[in-house]
Amino acid sequence: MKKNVRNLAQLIPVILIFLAGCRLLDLLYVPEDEWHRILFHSYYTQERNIDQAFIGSSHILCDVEPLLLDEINGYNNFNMSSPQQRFDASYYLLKEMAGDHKLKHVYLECYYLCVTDHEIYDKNSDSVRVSDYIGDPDHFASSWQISYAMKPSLNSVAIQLHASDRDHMIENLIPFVRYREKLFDWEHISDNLSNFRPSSERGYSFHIDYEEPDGSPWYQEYHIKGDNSSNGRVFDSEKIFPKDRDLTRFGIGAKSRSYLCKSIEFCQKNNIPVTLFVSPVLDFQLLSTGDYDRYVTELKSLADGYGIECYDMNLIKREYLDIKRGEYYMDPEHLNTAGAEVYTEALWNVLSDSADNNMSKFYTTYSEKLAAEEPEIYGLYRMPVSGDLTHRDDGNPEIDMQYTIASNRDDMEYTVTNIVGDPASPSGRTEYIIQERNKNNTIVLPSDSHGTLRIESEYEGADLMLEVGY
Amino acid sequence: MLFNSLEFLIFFPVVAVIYYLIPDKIKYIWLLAASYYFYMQWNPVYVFLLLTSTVVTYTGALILERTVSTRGRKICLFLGLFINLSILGYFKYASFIMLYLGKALSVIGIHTAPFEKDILLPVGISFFTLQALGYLIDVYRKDIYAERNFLKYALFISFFPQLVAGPIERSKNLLKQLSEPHRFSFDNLREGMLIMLYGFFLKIVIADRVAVIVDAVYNESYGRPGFYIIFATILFSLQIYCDFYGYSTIAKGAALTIGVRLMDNFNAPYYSKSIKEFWRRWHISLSTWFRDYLYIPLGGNRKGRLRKYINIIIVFAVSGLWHGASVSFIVWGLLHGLYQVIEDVISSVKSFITARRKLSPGSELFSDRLAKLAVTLFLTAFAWLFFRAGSMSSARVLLEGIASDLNWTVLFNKSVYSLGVSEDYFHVLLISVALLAFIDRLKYRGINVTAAFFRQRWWFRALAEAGLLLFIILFGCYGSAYDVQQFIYFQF
Repeated sequence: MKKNVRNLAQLIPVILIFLAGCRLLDLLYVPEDEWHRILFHSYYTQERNIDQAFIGSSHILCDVEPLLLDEINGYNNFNMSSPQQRFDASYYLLKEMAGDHKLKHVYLECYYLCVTDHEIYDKNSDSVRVSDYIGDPDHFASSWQISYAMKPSLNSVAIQLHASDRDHMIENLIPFVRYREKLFDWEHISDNLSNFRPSSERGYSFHIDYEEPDGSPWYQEYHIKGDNSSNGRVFDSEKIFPKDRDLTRFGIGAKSRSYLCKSIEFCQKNNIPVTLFVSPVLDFQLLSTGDYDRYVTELKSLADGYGIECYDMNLIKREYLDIKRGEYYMDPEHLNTAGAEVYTEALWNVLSDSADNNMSKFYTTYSEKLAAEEPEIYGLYRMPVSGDLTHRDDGNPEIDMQYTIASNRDDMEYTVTNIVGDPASPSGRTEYIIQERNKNNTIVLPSDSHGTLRIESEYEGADLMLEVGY
Repeated sequence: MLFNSLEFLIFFPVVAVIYYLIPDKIKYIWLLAASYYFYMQWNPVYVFLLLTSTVVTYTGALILERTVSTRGRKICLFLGLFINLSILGYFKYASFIMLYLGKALSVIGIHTAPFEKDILLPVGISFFTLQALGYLIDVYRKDIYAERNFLKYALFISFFPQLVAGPIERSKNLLKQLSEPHRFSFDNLREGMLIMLYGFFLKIVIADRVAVIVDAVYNESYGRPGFYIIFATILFSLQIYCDFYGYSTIAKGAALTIGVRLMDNFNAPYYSKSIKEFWRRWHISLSTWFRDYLYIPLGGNRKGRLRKYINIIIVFAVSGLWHGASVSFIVWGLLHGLYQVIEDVISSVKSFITARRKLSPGSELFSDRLAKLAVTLFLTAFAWLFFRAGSMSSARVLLEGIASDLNWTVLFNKSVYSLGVSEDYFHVLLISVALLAFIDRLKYRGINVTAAFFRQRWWFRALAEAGLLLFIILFGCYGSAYDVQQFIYFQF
């Protein structure tokens, strides 16, 4: 017995050296994500007085302004959201918040992109398979980042353990393993080392500058309480979106649904009112999904099943919220600060009103909304012609790309002109007409070709025109 | 379930912990259940083959022991061998035999429909069949008593660490150990874990990394510079060693963790200075099996020089065939047989001249040892080319590739880094191979490396153990970016 104890004690230095080695390698290879660092610092410094939790993905952090909401409704509002946040992580974060604070209301954002099934390329079987958002390896990192930034707790362990599938379990438990492809990337290592300062020294706000296509600067900033601000905007030439969801074929994934239901049930069990909502995106993105109404119906019926409210802000009438324009968006799916300020106020008007009153503010379906609005060409969405996901990201120029015109009228006729070369210089560019006054709304071009598509239409006396880069 | 899979990393600790927690009486039953579960992970149906082999040799051994007449004993042994070898023959050689039978018949004008049945080779069948036959022959020779307890015997045949790729254990060593319950021993645990760790290092840091280059060259050898093929063949020598030695080492470590000591299957073979010595150090359990159960019964070296040479050639041809149903494996075996015959002839001539001229043998110079080492390495690598090629037509293409373009500068213009392993990883590989060469050198000099390691100071051991683990995690080929590489010897 004594010998066994002595022998077991000999294991301690091995474990300690191993853990120290892992920590050192984490410092060398794992970059600390600023968003999560600032978010969780802000969360842990709240004085157990968060009243309202807005939980979800980047839609929350970009679209909902917690400080503005504090002023409007007098509550302490907190955005518990991070980029690509999955519903399993949201569920455990909700439990964490409910354990730390006496929540008065929980709002769950249900962005279709973060809950629906989609096709992914599976390396193991060398084939395309259908995956839930949670099971897609592209979204494992989101939960890893959350669990690394959280203080140790049962919920952070649960997030980490659920973060990946079996194939990624080692990456799951040992962070530096995820960066093994950068093992000899000295720039990556020196970047991490140069950032190696105590968190308090780095401060709890973050600013990063970008440049618009026209050369004008724009920024993005991370603030406390899960607030992101930006003055970026979507120019007409950027109104293009990859079709990466087919809602005609796929609905809410089984795992995502399960965790969404668990979250609702948790709130109901703990007498916390809960509401579902969907933040708006630009319409050419929404049209890329195919049958968006199918998702609207599915989510609504899920909410009805629990007797809770569900508001899709894409369906709100213009008189209550009119932000479906590029000037309010930093990219097609996220609002900029100007958009977020308008949206936050409109959102609270809806959330604080009764369900009966809200009914008249919304269209029942997205098709109804499209039909009710003025004719408009929103933009383009693109997908490889083969539809073969195995070739989507391999940079193979042999694959043609199909561009579809997103508008709100099926019978619109389009004249499409392809402009190649420098659009700013008449002598340095070539224009050729692809089609004239034709109801065809798809154009196929080689995926490695670039230029601008001018889409023109005359519809019910209105001249519509949009130029989009591809 | 591969040793280098997450499933095994969960399965093994569960089996070991439960083994130490349950009562002694049922420990072997637990190991048997675990072994069958382990085997069924590949193909549950093939467990019946394992069971058949077990039942046949178990029953055969009991009958053998009770049979007095020599003729009866011979019939009994023959039946045991026949049934087991028939099963092995059907699953491993049916397609091969039918193919060459068809070719032979077509020469005399008889055309038969091609044999198109796709037979999936049961994993480990070559290993457990030899182990079972070894037991039966031992009972026939009255070297051991037949095991009365069927479950204990079934465990001897199916013991999971060595079930699918050996070592091919003898009943004298393993059966008794498996029959006895083992109490938890920290020393066994720690030594077993260290040995397993070293096995993982060999497999996923060296073998699987080297496999990237070997596969790149061998799978698309046409048009490759000849020196690439030579380079890849040398690397294959390293790959197959680290792959198989890695498996055997993990098996040994896993078994030791539950108190069972398996035999050493390798003993620094690439330090050998002759092919004969190589076979004393390479796949020891197989070469000793063939020595004891084939070479010696054939007459060994007791019936004259010519007969000895014929026996050597037969044994190595069978050894090649045992590895796989392909002419290239037979050629690989025959080459090794031929090497040994030539070595023996040269050695005899040298001895004759030395004796005739009354020269003193003297001590061997370093340069002589180095030359012998280099020649042995060259000869084994040349034979590995046939082994890796998989078919004679592929081997021919490779040899033509070597002969047609011998531009050695390609090895120094950094173009080899385009074969899938970057310059940085090449350096890691060099460091890893240096560590392997160092440890093998110690083994070659007869040093018990594990014992020597555990005699060191605690801080050195802790640093080495944690360092090796981190090294494997950092530089091993595993995880989502890599396909889990099956052990090469699983296919045999």
